[in-house]
Amino acid sequence: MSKNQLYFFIIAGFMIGTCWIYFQVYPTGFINSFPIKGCLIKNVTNFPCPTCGTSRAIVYLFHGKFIQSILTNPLGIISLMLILISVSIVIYDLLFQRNTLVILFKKAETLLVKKYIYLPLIFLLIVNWIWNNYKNL
Amino acid sequence: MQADKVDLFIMTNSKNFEGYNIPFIREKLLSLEDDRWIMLQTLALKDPTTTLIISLFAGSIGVDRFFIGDVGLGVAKLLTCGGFGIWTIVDWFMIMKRTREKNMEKIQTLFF
Repeated sequence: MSKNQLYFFIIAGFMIGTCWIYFQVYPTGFINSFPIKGCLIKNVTNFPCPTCGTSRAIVYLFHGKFIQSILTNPLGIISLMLILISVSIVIYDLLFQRNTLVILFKKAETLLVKKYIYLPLIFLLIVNWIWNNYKNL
Repeated sequence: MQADKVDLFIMTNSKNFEGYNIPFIREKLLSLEDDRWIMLQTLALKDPTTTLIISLFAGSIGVDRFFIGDVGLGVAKLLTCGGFGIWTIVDWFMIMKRTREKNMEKIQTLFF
């Protein structure tokens, strides 16, 4: 993936994510009239997917309820941190003409394909999934 | 490399590459040394149809992106629940092309 594609992807993702969270906090008639909202797995099988509840967790974070956010889904904090960090690095790169984000992205990709890193992460995700089912998100 | 070996490779793997790339791949393979044949065979090329099936069933948690080696995008897709359901549907149509592009990137490591 080239540098411009990566930047475009992160900025577009940030904007869509912000709109998504906005409509979660202030639901309007237009959004509520959609037959399918969000996750396909949840809509088709009625079981929550591993990341169900992330937007609710982020909304709790904005209200300052840390413990309730972690109890809803711990991935909320992680994804919010990832988004904020990557967007701030994009702004830094664009201001100072650097390539920090591309280098970091390549490094993260090479780290994540190693067995001793991805197996524990997958295990944690599955535990989270089971917990989600238990909580009936 | 011998022409019959190259043609055999092209015949068995033509579905894994974009059509417009095949003449280029054939030309490059013909100019390659013979001892690269084993390395060519050990390239883990991904089948676009397999990727499409994975994308249909587990696209919401980004397994298709992990499968073809786009780990960074896979994590993004996983954390956003398949890009809020939209990216999942977009990827049903895009993932075959992306798989072929990734295969092309893999085979290019042999040439240069």
